[in-house]
Amino acid sequence: MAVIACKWHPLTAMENAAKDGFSYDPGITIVPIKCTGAVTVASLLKLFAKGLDGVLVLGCAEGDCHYYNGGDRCEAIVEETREILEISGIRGGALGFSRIANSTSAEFGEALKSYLRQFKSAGTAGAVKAGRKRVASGSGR
Amino acid sequence: MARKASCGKGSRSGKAGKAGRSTLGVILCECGRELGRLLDLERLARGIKADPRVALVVRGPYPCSRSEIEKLGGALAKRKLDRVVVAGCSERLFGRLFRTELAGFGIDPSLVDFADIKNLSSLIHKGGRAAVTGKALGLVRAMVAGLAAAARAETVETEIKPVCAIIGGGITGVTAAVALAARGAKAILVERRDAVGGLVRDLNVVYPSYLTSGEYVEARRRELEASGVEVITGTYPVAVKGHVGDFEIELANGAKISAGTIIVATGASPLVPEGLFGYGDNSRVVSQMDLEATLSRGEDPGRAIVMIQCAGSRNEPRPYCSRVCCTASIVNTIFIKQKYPDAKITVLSRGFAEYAGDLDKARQMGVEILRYSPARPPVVRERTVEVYDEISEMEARIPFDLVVLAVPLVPSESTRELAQMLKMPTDSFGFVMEPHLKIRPEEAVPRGIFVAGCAHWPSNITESIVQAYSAASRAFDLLKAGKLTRASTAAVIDRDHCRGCGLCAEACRHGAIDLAVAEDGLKRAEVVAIACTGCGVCVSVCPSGAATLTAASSDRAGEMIDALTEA
Repeated sequence: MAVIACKWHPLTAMENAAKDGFSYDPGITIVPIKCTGAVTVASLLKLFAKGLDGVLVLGCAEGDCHYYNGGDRCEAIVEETREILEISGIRGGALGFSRIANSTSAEFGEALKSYLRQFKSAGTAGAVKAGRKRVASGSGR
Repeated sequence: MARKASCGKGSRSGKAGKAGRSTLGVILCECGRELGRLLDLERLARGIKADPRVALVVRGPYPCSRSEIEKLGGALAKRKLDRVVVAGCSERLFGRLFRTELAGFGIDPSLVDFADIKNLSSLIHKGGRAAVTGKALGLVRAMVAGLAAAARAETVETEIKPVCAIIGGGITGVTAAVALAARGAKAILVERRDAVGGLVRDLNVVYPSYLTSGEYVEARRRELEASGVEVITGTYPVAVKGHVGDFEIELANGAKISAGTIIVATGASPLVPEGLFGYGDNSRVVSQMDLEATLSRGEDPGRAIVMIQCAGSRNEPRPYCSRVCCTASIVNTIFIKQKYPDAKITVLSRGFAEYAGDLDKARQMGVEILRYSPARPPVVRERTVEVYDEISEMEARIPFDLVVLAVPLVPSESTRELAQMLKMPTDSFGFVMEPHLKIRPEEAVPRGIFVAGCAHWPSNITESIVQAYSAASRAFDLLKAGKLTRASTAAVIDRDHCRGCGLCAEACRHGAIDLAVAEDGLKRAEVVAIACTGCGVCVSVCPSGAATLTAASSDRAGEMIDALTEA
C-alpha cells in the first residue's frame, strides 16, 4: 500500500504525526511528490498494475494548494480513476483521496483512518497480477 | 507521474549510471544515537549499498553539523559524485542546509534529495527494529531510484523590462507609483476615470485627517505630478499578453504599454443597495455614497437621520464585513453634528467593528447608537424606521428625514475584468486572491503581478497605503534585479501531440502557457518556462498526453514506485 503525498501540507502532516506519537503499519510506504496536480489517471492506474493493493493520495485543501489548483485537479482525476478501476474489476474504494489543510497530525490520522475503513469495506483491491511486470516508463500514454 | 519526457533543448547531465558508473551517493544520518536506537543502521547501510545505483554510502552521527558535512561532502567530491540522497531528517528542516553546503562540493542543488527515515519511518512505526529498518530501506531505495533518473534542472532566465504598469489610479495606485518613482523606477499609471483619486474622490471627508476628499486627493495628485510618473487617464486595459518580465498591455484607446511587472490597484465599488430597506422606492432612503455626495456639495441632509449599518453585508449573499463603512458612518455623523448641532442622528448597527475610529467622539456629540439583530432587521416605513434595540431590549420607532444605508464595497468592474484577463484567482465575491495570505502577501498567483488595496479586500485608506508600499517594494525587487533566474522545473508540451484545445492554458493559474498560432496555422500550446512552477496541472488536464513534467521537475514517482514494488 502506498501513500502519494504532496510535499507541502500532507507530507508535513505526516512528519508531525511522528512527533505526536502516531503509529501505523510499516507496510504503508510513502512517495512524496511536488504537487498532486500532476497526478494523472494513467499514473494511478499504473500503481495498481504494479501490484499495489491500495493507494491513498493526499493533496492540499482548497485554498491551501501551493500552486493554487493542484488539489482540485487531483480530486477530479481520482474520481475518474475510481470509475475506471470499477470497470476493471478493482473496487474504487482501493483508491483513497483526502485533502489536508493544516499540516496537523490529527488531520493526517483522520485521513488515514477513514481511508483504511473505506479500503476494508471495499475488500481487497484484487490487484491485477498480470500487470505486475515492470511497466516500462518513458513511453507516452 | 510515471512518465519521463524528453527535457527539450539545453544541457543536462545524463542519468546516473548511464556511462556504466554510478555517480550517486547517500549520506546516512545517525542523528546522534537516536536512529541507532530505533533501527538497525548496519543492515540499512548494507541494504543501501547493495543497490547498484549507489556508488558510496557515508555515515555520521551529525551530518547536519558544519564540520561533519564538510568531511562527508569532501568524501563525495573525491569520488566525483554529482547527486546525493540524504537519508535522515525532514527536507523541510534541513533541505536548505544540505543543498547550500553540498553546492560547495560541486553538487547541484536540484540533484540533492531527501529520504526522511526519521519521521516517516523510525519514529512512527511501533513494529519493531526489523520492520522499521525495512521501511526505511524502502524509502531510501525509492529516493535513490528517483534521483538516479533525475536530470539537472536547467537554469532559465528572463529579462525584466524596467517598467511597472500600475492599473488603477486610486489612492493605492498613486501611492505605489510615487513609491516606485522615489526609488528611481519607471512607473506608468493607468486610470479609467478622467483623473486620479479613485473611490476617495466620491467621499466627503477622509479619516483620520478629516480633510475634505478634494484637499486630500489634490495633495496626493501633486505628489504624483512631482514624482514624474507617466499618467494615462480615461482608458483601461482590454488585453494583456506575456509573462513576468515582459507583459504587453493593450489599452482601450489603442495604446500599448510594455512592462516588466504589473500592480493591480483597481479597487472596489460601493454596492448599489437596490431593493434593500426601501432603496429605490422611497426617495428618502439613500446609500452612504449618496450622502457623501450630498455633504460634499454642501447640501443639507435633513435634521433627523437614521443610518443603517451592514446594509447588504454580513449576511447572504455577502457574509463578509466591508471594514470601511463603520468608520465612514461615524465620520459622517461627526461632520453633520459639527455643521448642524441640532441634527438628531441615530445609527442602527450590528455592533461596531473594532477599527471604527472616533466612535466615542460621535457618542459624546450626541449621536445615538442602537443595536439591531440580523434576525430582526429594521423596517423602513414612509417616514419612520421601526427597530428592535438589543441593548435596551425595546422596540423603537424613529422618525426620519433621511435613511442612510451603509453599503459594503464589492469588487469594481475593472477588478473583475482584470482578474479574468490576468487569470488571477478570485474569491467567491470576486475579490482577487493572494496565493498565500501570509507567505506571499500582495502577490497575485501569476508571477510578476502584484495586488494592493480594495482589489483584494475592502480596506481603508491607511491599509491601502500600506499595501501599496508593500506591492511597490515587491515589484521594485524584480525591476532592480533586471532579470529573473531560476532553476526550471517547467513542464513541456510536445508540439507533435498538442492539438491546441487550450485546456491547459485555462487550467494554468500561473499564466505559463502560451496558446499561439504556429506557422502551419494550427494552435499550439507552449510552456513559458520562467513562469511555470512545475505543479503539473497541465499534465493532468491534457487529453492528448502532450504535456509532461520532465525528469528535472521531480517527475520521479514512477521510478520510486518501481523501486518500492521491487523491494
